[in-house]
Amino acid sequence: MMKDKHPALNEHFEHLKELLPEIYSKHFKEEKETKNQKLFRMLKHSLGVIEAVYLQNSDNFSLSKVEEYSKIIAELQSLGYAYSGHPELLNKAANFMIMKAKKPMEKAKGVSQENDQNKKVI
Amino acid sequence: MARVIPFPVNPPAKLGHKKVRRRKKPNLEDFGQLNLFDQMEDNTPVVALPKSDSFFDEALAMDEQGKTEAEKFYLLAVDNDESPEDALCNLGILKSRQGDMTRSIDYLTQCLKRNPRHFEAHYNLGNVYSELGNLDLAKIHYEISAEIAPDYPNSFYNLGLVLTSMKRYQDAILCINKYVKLAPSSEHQTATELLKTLNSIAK
Repeated sequence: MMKDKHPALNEHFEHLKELLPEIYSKHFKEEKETKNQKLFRMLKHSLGVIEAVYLQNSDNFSLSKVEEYSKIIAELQSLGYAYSGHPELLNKAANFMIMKAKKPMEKAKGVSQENDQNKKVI
Repeated sequence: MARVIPFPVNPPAKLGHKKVRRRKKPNLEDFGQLNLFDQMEDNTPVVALPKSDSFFDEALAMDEQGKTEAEKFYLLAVDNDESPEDALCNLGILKSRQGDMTRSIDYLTQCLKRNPRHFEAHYNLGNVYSELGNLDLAKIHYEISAEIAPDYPNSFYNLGLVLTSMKRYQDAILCINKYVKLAPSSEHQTATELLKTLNSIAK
């Protein structure tokens, strides 16, 4: 941990900030942007690893993982970053998400209940 | 002269009902008999007899309640030839819920081996294949289930989704429209929203 600045120096810098607010705010923004840029680069690398794993063995790449991949890209785009992603993976993810909305499975009700239904119809 | 001797009578303290007291268990070994049974633990399993007439009905009731024993009773239904196709079909659903897609397909296809026109098995296989991302097979099974039971709306809905995924938007619109015709109005909302989207894409 860094030690606190000398109170006299601190006051001096505070005074400078008041005198030149543009310079100080610009410096702060730049620092923040570079951090975000670093994070973006890291994310791009991680997504690249995912894509490489998919290309090596697409059969063992489960659809739930594809969905997570597409969510990361969607989130990146919503944050204003441009990353197109792997088209085949994104297509798979889109299909998976569409099919998630499907109607559930239908249980078979057995002979007795089917017969009861037939009786009602008669 | 004879002497009258009073007969000794002990009148009971109280007349009336007599309570039964718990008798002390005799120690059989005091009577020269080996006491074999008291030392043995009763490990006899308590087997509940099915409440319904058949194993299948019992399995279905358990399945509706989400009980895990349903699987055992479905298997008993298959062994006892009680609605075996339906039992196999429902076993397929159970396995799919457990994430065991291979066994799910195995049970569903076993059902179709016994009854190739089992509509629920075709429909459920459509669901399993779509979950696995095999849209071609999912499409075929939904189409067969829609052919066998043309009044069942969900086959058309899911087929519509498969066709959407395949980017065959016009065919998807036809299927979702069929669903809207067959399904109750309370279930139209998502379908009509989907139709709007499909119409805008298809143009």
